[in-house]
Amino acid sequence: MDDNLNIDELIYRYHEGELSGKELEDFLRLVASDPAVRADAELEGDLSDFLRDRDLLDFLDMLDKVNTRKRPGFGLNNLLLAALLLVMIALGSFWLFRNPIYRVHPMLHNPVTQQGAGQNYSSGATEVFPHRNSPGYPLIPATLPERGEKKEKPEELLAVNFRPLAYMEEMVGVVSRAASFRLLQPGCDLSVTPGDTLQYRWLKENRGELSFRVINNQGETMISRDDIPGASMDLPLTRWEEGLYYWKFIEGDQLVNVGKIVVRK
Amino acid sequence: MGSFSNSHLIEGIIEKRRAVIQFMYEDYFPYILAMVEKNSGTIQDAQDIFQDGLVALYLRCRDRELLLNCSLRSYFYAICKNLWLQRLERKYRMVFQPDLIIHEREERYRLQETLTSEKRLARYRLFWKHLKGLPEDCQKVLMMYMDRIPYKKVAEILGFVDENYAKMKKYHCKKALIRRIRRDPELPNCI
Repeated sequence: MDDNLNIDELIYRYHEGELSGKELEDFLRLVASDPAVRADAELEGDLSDFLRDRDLLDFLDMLDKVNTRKRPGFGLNNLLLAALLLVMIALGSFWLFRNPIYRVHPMLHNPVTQQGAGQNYSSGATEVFPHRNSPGYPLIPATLPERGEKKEKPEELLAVNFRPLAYMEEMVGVVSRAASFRLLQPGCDLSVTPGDTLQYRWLKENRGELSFRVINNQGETMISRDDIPGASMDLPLTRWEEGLYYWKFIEGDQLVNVGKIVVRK
Repeated sequence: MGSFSNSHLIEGIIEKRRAVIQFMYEDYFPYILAMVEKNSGTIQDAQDIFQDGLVALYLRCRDRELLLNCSLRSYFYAICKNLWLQRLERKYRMVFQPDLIIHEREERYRLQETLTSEKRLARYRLFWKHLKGLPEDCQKVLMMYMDRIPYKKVAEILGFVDENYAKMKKYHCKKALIRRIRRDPELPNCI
Protein backbone atom coordinates (compact mmCIF):
# COMPACT_ATOMS: atom_id res chain seq x y z
CA MET A 1 0.00 0.00 0.00
CA ASP A 2 2.79 2.38 1.02
CA ASP A 3 4.74 1.39 -2.07
CA ASN A 4 1.73 2.24 -4.22
CA LEU A 5 1.39 5.61 -2.53
CA ASN A 6 5.09 6.27 -3.08
CA ILE A 7 4.85 5.37 -6.73
CA ASP A 8 1.82 7.60 -7.21
CA GLU A 9 3.69 10.41 -5.51
CA LEU A 10 6.74 9.83 -7.70
CA ILE A 11 4.64 9.82 -10.86
CA TYR A 12 2.97 13.04 -9.80
CA ARG A 13 6.26 14.71 -8.97
CA TYR A 14 7.81 13.50 -12.22
CA HIS A 15 5.10 15.18 -14.26
CA GLU A 16 5.40 18.32 -12.18
CA GLY A 17 9.12 18.38 -13.00
CA GLU A 18 10.03 17.99 -9.35
CA LEU A 19 12.32 14.94 -9.68
CA SER A 20 16.03 15.32 -10.26
CA GLY A 21 19.36 13.56 -9.80
CA LYS A 22 19.33 10.06 -8.38
CA GLU A 23 15.62 10.22 -7.61
CA LEU A 24 14.88 10.86 -11.28
CA GLU A 25 17.25 8.11 -12.44
CA ASP A 26 15.64 5.59 -10.07
CA PHE A 27 12.21 6.56 -11.25
CA LEU A 28 13.10 6.18 -14.92
CA ARG A 29 14.63 2.78 -14.18
CA LEU A 30 11.44 1.73 -12.43
CA VAL A 31 9.30 2.93 -15.35
CA ALA A 32 11.46 1.00 -17.81
CA SER A 33 11.25 -2.23 -15.84
CA ASP A 34 7.65 -2.23 -14.64
CA PRO A 35 4.89 -2.12 -17.31
CA ALA A 36 2.18 -1.26 -14.74
CA VAL A 37 4.11 1.77 -13.50
CA ARG A 38 4.83 2.74 -17.09
CA ALA A 39 1.12 2.57 -17.97
CA ASP A 40 0.22 4.70 -14.93
CA ALA A 41 2.92 7.22 -15.74
CA GLU A 42 1.77 7.47 -19.35
CA LEU A 43 -1.84 7.93 -18.33
CA GLU A 44 -0.94 10.68 -15.90
CA GLY A 45 1.31 12.27 -18.51
CA ASP A 46 -1.56 12.30 -20.98
CA LEU A 47 -3.80 13.82 -18.36
CA SER A 48 -1.24 16.53 -17.56
CA ASP A 49 -0.94 17.39 -21.25
CA PHE A 50 -4.71 17.45 -21.53
CA LEU A 51 -5.04 19.76 -18.52
CA ARG A 52 -2.47 22.13 -19.96
CA ASP A 53 -4.32 22.43 -23.27
CA ARG A 54 -6.60 25.25 -22.24
CA ASP A 55 -7.82 25.85 -25.80
CA LEU A 56 -9.03 22.28 -26.09
CA LEU A 57 -10.75 22.48 -22.71
CA ASP A 58 -12.51 25.66 -23.74
CA PHE A 59 -13.64 23.95 -26.93
CA LEU A 60 -14.98 20.96 -24.98
CA ASP A 61 -16.75 23.36 -22.66
CA MET A 62 -18.39 25.02 -25.66
CA LEU A 63 -19.46 21.63 -27.03
CA ASP A 64 -21.14 20.88 -23.71
CA LYS A 65 -23.01 24.16 -23.85
CA VAL A 66 -24.13 23.73 -27.43
CA ASN A 67 -24.88 20.05 -27.35
CA THR A 68 -28.62 20.34 -27.17
CA ARG A 69 -29.12 17.30 -29.34
CA LYS A 70 -27.68 15.07 -26.72
CA ARG A 71 -30.40 12.83 -25.45
CA PRO A 72 -30.10 11.70 -21.85
CA GLY A 73 -29.05 8.14 -21.23
CA PHE A 74 -31.47 5.66 -19.82
CA GLY A 75 -30.36 6.17 -16.23
CA LEU A 76 -31.92 4.91 -13.03
CA ASN A 77 -34.38 7.80 -12.83
CA ASN A 78 -35.57 7.17 -16.34
CA LEU A 79 -35.92 3.47 -15.64
CA LEU A 80 -38.03 4.25 -12.59
CA LEU A 81 -40.16 6.63 -14.62
CA ALA A 82 -40.56 4.05 -17.35
CA ALA A 83 -41.56 1.41 -14.80
CA LEU A 84 -44.08 3.80 -13.26
CA LEU A 85 -45.49 4.59 -16.69
CA LEU A 86 -45.82 0.90 -17.50
CA VAL A 87 -47.67 0.26 -14.24
CA MET A 88 -50.01 3.18 -14.99
CA ILE A 89 -50.64 1.93 -18.51
CA ALA A 90 -51.28 -1.58 -17.22
CA LEU A 91 -53.74 -0.32 -14.60
CA GLY A 92 -55.45 1.94 -17.12
CA SER A 93 -55.72 -0.87 -19.64
CA PHE A 94 -57.12 -3.20 -17.01
CA TRP A 95 -59.74 -0.65 -16.04
CA LEU A 96 -60.64 0.07 -19.64
CA PHE A 97 -60.93 -3.49 -20.83
CA ARG A 98 -62.66 -4.82 -17.79
CA ASN A 99 -65.90 -3.55 -19.27
CA PRO A 100 -66.83 -6.05 -22.01
CA ILE A 101 -68.85 -3.62 -24.13
CA TYR A 102 -65.79 -1.62 -25.12
CA ARG A 103 -62.62 -2.70 -26.71
CA VAL A 104 -59.75 -0.88 -28.35
CA HIS A 105 -60.17 -0.66 -32.04
CA PRO A 106 -56.92 -0.83 -33.98
CA MET A 107 -56.23 2.26 -35.97
CA LEU A 108 -57.63 2.57 -39.43
CA HIS A 109 -59.69 -0.50 -39.75
CA ASN A 110 -62.30 1.81 -41.08
CA PRO A 111 -60.87 5.24 -41.85
CA VAL A 112 -63.33 8.05 -42.17
CA THR A 113 -62.69 11.29 -44.01
CA GLN A 114 -63.41 14.34 -41.95
CA GLN A 115 -63.56 17.69 -43.57
CA GLY A 116 -62.02 20.76 -42.02
CA ALA A 117 -60.12 18.90 -39.36
CA GLY A 118 -56.81 20.64 -39.96
CA GLN A 119 -55.63 24.20 -40.35
CA ASN A 120 -56.19 26.45 -43.29
CA TYR A 121 -53.18 25.86 -45.45
CA SER A 122 -54.41 25.59 -48.95
CA SER A 123 -57.46 24.41 -50.71
CA GLY A 124 -55.68 21.13 -51.38
CA ALA A 125 -55.26 20.23 -47.70
CA THR A 126 -56.77 16.92 -46.78
CA GLU A 127 -56.91 15.34 -43.38
CA VAL A 128 -58.16 11.86 -42.79
CA PHE A 129 -58.20 11.15 -39.14
CA PRO A 130 -60.23 8.46 -37.53
CA HIS A 131 -60.62 8.44 -33.80
CA ARG A 132 -62.59 5.93 -31.96
CA ASN A 133 -64.30 8.58 -29.89
CA SER A 134 -64.94 10.99 -32.71
CA PRO A 135 -68.10 11.41 -34.81
CA GLY A 136 -68.15 8.96 -37.66
CA TYR A 137 -65.99 6.54 -35.77
CA PRO A 138 -68.13 5.29 -32.94
CA LEU A 139 -67.10 3.00 -30.19
CA ILE A 140 -67.67 -0.51 -31.29
CA PRO A 141 -69.58 -2.75 -28.94
CA ALA A 142 -67.77 -5.99 -28.62
CA THR A 143 -69.60 -9.10 -29.55
CA LEU A 144 -69.11 -11.94 -27.18
CA PRO A 145 -66.74 -14.49 -28.64
CA GLU A 146 -68.19 -17.66 -29.98
CA ARG A 147 -67.39 -20.82 -28.10
CA GLY A 148 -63.91 -21.93 -29.12
CA GLU A 149 -63.11 -18.60 -30.84
CA LYS A 150 -59.80 -17.08 -29.83
CA LYS A 151 -60.35 -13.89 -27.88
CA GLU A 152 -58.05 -11.00 -28.78
CA LYS A 153 -56.21 -9.62 -25.80
CA PRO A 154 -56.65 -5.85 -25.33
CA GLU A 155 -52.91 -5.20 -25.06
CA GLU A 156 -52.40 -6.93 -28.41
CA LEU A 157 -54.94 -4.64 -30.00
CA LEU A 158 -53.29 -1.51 -28.61
CA ALA A 159 -49.83 -2.76 -29.53
CA VAL A 160 -50.92 -2.84 -33.18
CA ASN A 161 -50.84 0.95 -33.17
CA PHE A 162 -47.18 1.02 -32.16
CA ARG A 163 -45.84 -1.54 -34.58
CA PRO A 164 -43.09 0.19 -36.61
CA LEU A 165 -43.50 0.55 -40.33
CA ALA A 166 -40.20 -0.83 -41.59
CA TYR A 167 -39.63 1.26 -44.72
CA MET A 168 -40.53 4.53 -42.95
CA GLU A 169 -38.55 3.60 -39.86
CA GLU A 170 -35.41 3.32 -41.97
CA MET A 171 -35.88 6.82 -43.31
CA VAL A 172 -36.44 8.57 -39.98
CA GLY A 173 -33.78 11.21 -39.54
CA VAL A 174 -32.96 11.36 -43.21
CA VAL A 175 -32.25 14.85 -44.41
CA SER A 176 -31.57 15.68 -48.01
CA ARG A 177 -28.77 18.16 -48.40
CA ALA A 178 -29.61 18.81 -52.02
CA ALA A 179 -32.82 20.58 -51.08
CA SER A 180 -33.08 24.19 -50.01
CA PHE A 181 -35.27 23.17 -47.09
CA ARG A 182 -33.88 22.88 -43.58
CA LEU A 183 -36.11 21.97 -40.67
CA LEU A 184 -35.32 23.90 -37.49
CA GLN A 185 -37.85 22.27 -35.22
CA PRO A 186 -39.06 19.85 -34.00
CA GLY A 187 -36.64 16.90 -33.89
CA CYS A 188 -37.12 13.82 -35.99
CA ASP A 189 -38.14 11.53 -33.15
CA LEU A 190 -40.91 12.92 -30.98
CA SER A 191 -42.97 11.59 -28.15
CA VAL A 192 -46.16 13.54 -27.49
CA THR A 193 -49.57 13.21 -25.93
CA PRO A 194 -52.90 13.63 -27.70
CA GLY A 195 -53.95 17.26 -27.50
CA ASP A 196 -50.46 18.67 -27.95
CA THR A 197 -49.72 20.95 -30.86
CA LEU A 198 -46.50 20.50 -32.75
CA GLN A 199 -44.94 23.52 -34.33
CA TYR A 200 -42.78 22.99 -37.38
CA ARG A 201 -40.34 25.74 -38.34
CA TRP A 202 -37.97 25.70 -41.27
CA LEU A 203 -35.71 27.67 -43.56
CA LYS A 204 -36.30 27.41 -47.26
CA GLU A 205 -35.32 29.05 -50.47
CA ASN A 206 -38.10 29.36 -53.00
CA ARG A 207 -37.17 26.38 -55.12
CA GLY A 208 -40.10 24.02 -55.18
CA GLU A 209 -43.53 23.63 -53.68
CA LEU A 210 -43.39 22.33 -50.12
CA SER A 211 -45.69 19.47 -49.15
CA PHE A 212 -46.22 17.68 -45.87
CA ARG A 213 -47.60 14.23 -45.18
CA VAL A 214 -48.42 12.27 -42.06
CA ILE A 215 -48.52 8.51 -42.45
CA ASN A 216 -49.74 6.04 -39.87
CA ASN A 217 -47.95 2.86 -38.91
CA GLN A 218 -49.92 0.94 -41.51
CA GLY A 219 -48.61 3.07 -44.34
CA GLU A 220 -51.78 5.06 -44.89
CA THR A 221 -51.61 8.80 -45.46
CA MET A 222 -53.47 10.59 -42.69
CA ILE A 223 -52.68 14.22 -43.44
CA SER A 224 -51.74 15.73 -46.74
CA ARG A 225 -50.86 19.40 -47.09
CA ASP A 226 -49.58 20.87 -50.32
CA ASP A 227 -48.08 24.19 -51.32
CA ILE A 228 -47.41 25.21 -47.73
CA PRO A 229 -46.61 28.93 -47.48
CA GLY A 230 -44.33 30.68 -44.99
CA ALA A 231 -41.74 29.15 -42.72
CA SER A 232 -43.83 27.48 -40.05
CA MET A 233 -46.99 25.55 -39.45
CA ASP A 234 -48.86 24.02 -36.55
CA LEU A 235 -49.90 20.43 -36.34
CA PRO A 236 -52.58 20.02 -33.69
CA LEU A 237 -52.88 16.50 -32.29
CA THR A 238 -56.29 16.94 -30.72
CA ARG A 239 -57.91 14.13 -32.64
CA TRP A 240 -55.04 11.71 -32.76
CA GLU A 241 -55.27 8.15 -31.57
CA GLU A 242 -52.43 6.66 -29.55
CA GLY A 243 -49.90 5.13 -31.86
CA LEU A 244 -46.90 5.58 -34.08
CA TYR A 245 -46.93 8.04 -36.96
CA TYR A 246 -44.42 9.24 -39.51
CA TRP A 247 -44.16 12.61 -41.19
CA LYS A 248 -42.30 13.79 -44.21
CA PHE A 249 -41.61 17.02 -46.03
CA ILE A 250 -41.38 17.00 -49.79
CA GLU A 251 -39.89 19.84 -51.81
CA GLY A 252 -41.06 19.66 -55.41
CA ASP A 253 -40.77 15.94 -56.04
CA GLN A 254 -37.89 15.38 -53.64
CA LEU A 255 -38.19 13.89 -50.17
CA VAL A 256 -36.30 16.26 -47.90
CA ASN A 257 -37.01 15.34 -44.29
CA VAL A 258 -38.54 12.40 -42.44
CA GLY A 259 -39.44 11.97 -38.79
CA LYS A 260 -41.73 10.07 -36.52
CA ILE A 261 -44.17 10.86 -33.73
CA VAL A 262 -45.14 8.58 -30.91
CA VAL A 263 -48.51 9.59 -29.49
CA ARG A 264 -49.11 8.17 -26.07
CA LYS A 265 -51.47 9.24 -23.32
CA MET B 1 -29.91 29.92 -38.72
CA GLY B 2 -28.26 30.54 -42.06
CA SER B 3 -25.67 28.40 -43.75
CA PHE B 4 -21.91 28.94 -43.61
CA SER B 5 -19.15 28.64 -46.16
CA ASN B 6 -16.27 26.24 -45.48
CA SER B 7 -13.94 29.06 -44.51
CA HIS B 8 -16.52 30.58 -42.16
CA LEU B 9 -17.00 27.22 -40.51
CA ILE B 10 -13.28 26.62 -40.07
CA GLU B 11 -12.75 30.10 -38.70
CA GLY B 12 -15.73 29.64 -36.38
CA ILE B 13 -14.42 26.32 -35.11
CA ILE B 14 -11.01 27.77 -34.34
CA GLU B 15 -12.63 30.68 -32.55
CA LYS B 16 -15.10 28.33 -30.81
CA ARG B 17 -18.07 30.30 -32.04
CA ARG B 18 -21.29 29.01 -30.60
CA ALA B 19 -23.39 29.66 -33.72
CA VAL B 20 -20.99 27.67 -35.88
CA ILE B 21 -20.90 24.68 -33.54
CA GLN B 22 -24.66 24.85 -33.18
CA PHE B 23 -24.97 24.84 -36.95
CA MET B 24 -22.78 21.76 -37.18
CA TYR B 25 -24.90 19.92 -34.65
CA GLU B 26 -28.03 20.81 -36.58
CA ASP B 27 -26.69 20.18 -40.02
CA TYR B 28 -24.13 17.39 -39.74
CA PHE B 29 -25.40 15.19 -36.94
CA PRO B 30 -28.18 13.45 -38.93
CA TYR B 31 -25.59 12.11 -41.40
CA ILE B 32 -23.39 10.76 -38.66
CA LEU B 33 -26.34 9.24 -36.85
CA ALA B 34 -27.51 7.52 -40.03
CA MET B 35 -24.01 6.20 -40.73
CA VAL B 36 -23.50 4.88 -37.19
CA GLU B 37 -26.95 3.36 -36.90
CA LYS B 38 -26.55 1.69 -40.25
CA ASN B 39 -23.42 0.08 -38.91
CA SER B 40 -24.68 -1.46 -35.70
CA GLY B 41 -24.28 1.62 -33.53
CA THR B 42 -26.65 3.37 -31.18
CA ILE B 43 -27.60 7.02 -30.75
CA GLN B 44 -25.14 7.22 -27.86
CA ASP B 45 -22.37 5.88 -30.11
CA ALA B 46 -23.30 8.46 -32.74
CA GLN B 47 -23.16 11.27 -30.17
CA ASP B 48 -19.76 10.12 -28.93
CA ILE B 49 -18.38 9.78 -32.44
CA PHE B 50 -19.82 13.16 -33.41
CA GLN B 51 -18.19 14.85 -30.43
CA ASP B 52 -14.88 13.09 -31.06
CA GLY B 53 -15.13 14.13 -34.71
CA LEU B 54 -15.63 17.75 -33.72
CA VAL B 55 -12.61 17.61 -31.40
CA ALA B 56 -10.49 16.03 -34.14
CA LEU B 57 -11.64 18.70 -36.59
CA TYR B 58 -10.91 21.43 -34.06
CA LEU B 59 -7.40 20.11 -33.40
CA ARG B 60 -6.66 19.95 -37.12
CA CYS B 61 -7.97 23.45 -37.72
CA ARG B 62 -6.09 24.82 -34.75
CA ASP B 63 -2.84 23.07 -35.63
CA ARG B 64 -3.17 24.07 -39.30
CA GLU B 65 -3.25 20.44 -40.40
CA LEU B 66 -6.45 20.79 -42.37
CA LEU B 67 -6.06 20.35 -46.11
CA LEU B 68 -9.50 20.66 -47.58
CA ASN B 69 -10.24 19.66 -51.16
CA CYS B 70 -13.93 18.87 -50.72
CA SER B 71 -16.83 20.23 -48.70
CA LEU B 72 -16.27 20.42 -44.96
CA ARG B 73 -19.31 18.23 -44.46
CA SER B 74 -17.76 15.45 -46.55
CA TYR B 75 -14.47 15.87 -44.74
CA PHE B 76 -16.15 15.74 -41.35
CA TYR B 77 -18.17 12.73 -42.42
CA ALA B 78 -14.92 11.01 -43.39
CA ILE B 79 -13.40 11.81 -40.00
CA CYS B 80 -16.39 10.33 -38.18
CA LYS B 81 -16.53 7.32 -40.45
CA ASN B 82 -12.85 6.73 -39.83
CA LEU B 83 -13.40 6.98 -36.08
CA TRP B 84 -16.37 4.65 -36.21
CA LEU B 85 -14.38 2.14 -38.28
CA GLN B 86 -11.68 2.14 -35.64
CA ARG B 87 -14.22 1.68 -32.89
CA LEU B 88 -16.02 -1.12 -34.71
CA GLU B 89 -12.74 -2.87 -35.21
CA ARG B 90 -11.68 -2.40 -31.61
CA LYS B 91 -14.94 -2.86 -29.78
CA TYR B 92 -17.28 -4.88 -31.90
CA ARG B 93 -15.01 -6.60 -34.42
CA MET B 94 -17.57 -5.90 -37.09
CA VAL B 95 -17.37 -5.02 -40.74
CA PHE B 96 -18.33 -1.57 -41.94
CA GLN B 97 -21.06 -1.37 -44.54
CA PRO B 98 -20.95 1.36 -47.16
CA ASP B 99 -23.31 4.21 -46.61
CA LEU B 100 -25.59 5.52 -49.29
CA ILE B 101 -26.34 8.98 -47.96
CA ILE B 102 -23.09 10.67 -48.90
CA HIS B 103 -22.53 10.29 -52.61
CA GLU B 104 -19.23 12.09 -53.02
CA ARG B 105 -16.25 9.97 -53.87
CA GLU B 106 -14.33 9.32 -50.71
CA GLU B 107 -10.96 8.94 -52.39
CA ARG B 108 -10.83 12.71 -52.64
CA TYR B 109 -10.66 13.14 -48.92
CA ARG B 110 -9.34 9.85 -47.66
CA LEU B 111 -7.70 10.49 -44.32
CA GLN B 112 -4.35 9.52 -42.98
CA GLU B 113 -4.82 7.00 -40.22
CA THR B 114 -2.38 8.67 -37.90
CA LEU B 115 -4.21 11.97 -37.89
CA THR B 116 -7.26 10.63 -36.11
CA SER B 117 -6.78 8.23 -33.26
CA GLU B 118 -10.08 7.07 -31.91
CA LYS B 119 -8.47 5.98 -28.65
CA ARG B 120 -6.85 9.34 -28.12
CA LEU B 121 -10.12 11.16 -28.65
CA ALA B 122 -12.00 8.71 -26.46
CA ARG B 123 -9.38 9.35 -23.79
CA TYR B 124 -9.98 13.10 -24.05
CA ARG B 125 -13.71 12.49 -23.68
CA LEU B 126 -13.07 10.37 -20.60
CA PHE B 127 -10.73 12.97 -19.05
CA TRP B 128 -13.25 15.71 -19.71
CA LYS B 129 -16.15 13.74 -18.25
CA HIS B 130 -14.29 13.17 -14.98
CA LEU B 131 -12.88 16.67 -14.83
CA LYS B 132 -16.43 18.02 -14.99
CA GLY B 133 -17.44 15.49 -12.33
CA LEU B 134 -15.01 16.89 -9.76
CA PRO B 135 -16.22 19.24 -7.02
CA GLU B 136 -16.30 22.84 -8.17
CA ASP B 137 -13.41 24.01 -5.98
CA CYS B 138 -11.22 21.25 -7.41
CA GLN B 139 -12.12 22.26 -10.94
CA LYS B 140 -11.23 25.86 -10.13
CA VAL B 141 -7.86 24.90 -8.66
CA LEU B 142 -7.00 22.75 -11.66
CA MET B 143 -8.16 25.41 -14.12
CA MET B 144 -5.95 27.96 -12.43
CA TYR B 145 -3.09 25.52 -12.57
CA MET B 146 -3.71 25.17 -16.31
CA ASP B 147 -3.59 28.93 -16.63
CA ARG B 148 -0.26 28.84 -14.78
CA ILE B 149 -1.47 31.12 -12.04
CA PRO B 150 1.03 31.06 -9.13
CA TYR B 151 -0.10 29.15 -6.03
CA LYS B 152 0.07 32.31 -3.96
CA LYS B 153 -2.43 34.01 -6.27
CA VAL B 154 -4.61 30.88 -6.32
CA ALA B 155 -4.72 30.96 -2.52
CA GLU B 156 -5.74 34.62 -2.61
CA ILE B 157 -8.46 34.15 -5.19
CA LEU B 158 -9.97 31.05 -3.63
CA GLY B 159 -9.53 32.22 -0.04
CA PHE B 160 -7.08 29.49 1.03
CA VAL B 161 -4.85 29.94 4.06
CA ASP B 162 -1.62 30.07 2.09
CA GLU B 163 0.11 28.85 -1.06
CA ASN B 164 1.07 25.52 0.55
CA TYR B 165 -2.59 24.76 1.06
CA ALA B 166 -3.27 25.65 -2.59
CA LYS B 167 -0.47 23.33 -3.65
CA MET B 168 -1.82 20.49 -1.51
CA LYS B 169 -5.31 21.11 -2.81
CA LYS B 170 -4.13 20.88 -6.38
CA TYR B 171 -2.27 17.65 -5.59
CA HIS B 172 -5.35 16.05 -4.03
CA CYS B 173 -7.63 17.25 -6.81
CA LYS B 174 -5.41 15.83 -9.49
CA LYS B 175 -5.14 12.57 -7.59
CA ALA B 176 -8.91 12.43 -7.22
CA LEU B 177 -9.22 12.98 -10.95
CA ILE B 178 -6.76 10.18 -11.69
CA ARG B 179 -8.62 7.83 -9.32
CA ARG B 180 -11.93 8.53 -11.07
CA ILE B 181 -10.39 7.94 -14.46
CA ARG B 182 -8.74 4.68 -13.38
CA ARG B 183 -12.02 3.38 -11.99
CA ASP B 184 -13.91 4.09 -15.20
CA PRO B 185 -14.74 0.82 -17.01
CA GLU B 186 -14.21 2.62 -20.32
CA LEU B 187 -10.53 3.26 -19.59
CA PRO B 188 -9.19 -0.04 -21.00
CA ASN B 189 -10.79 0.88 -24.33
CA CYS B 190 -8.92 4.18 -24.41
CA ILE B 191 -5.36 3.06 -23.77
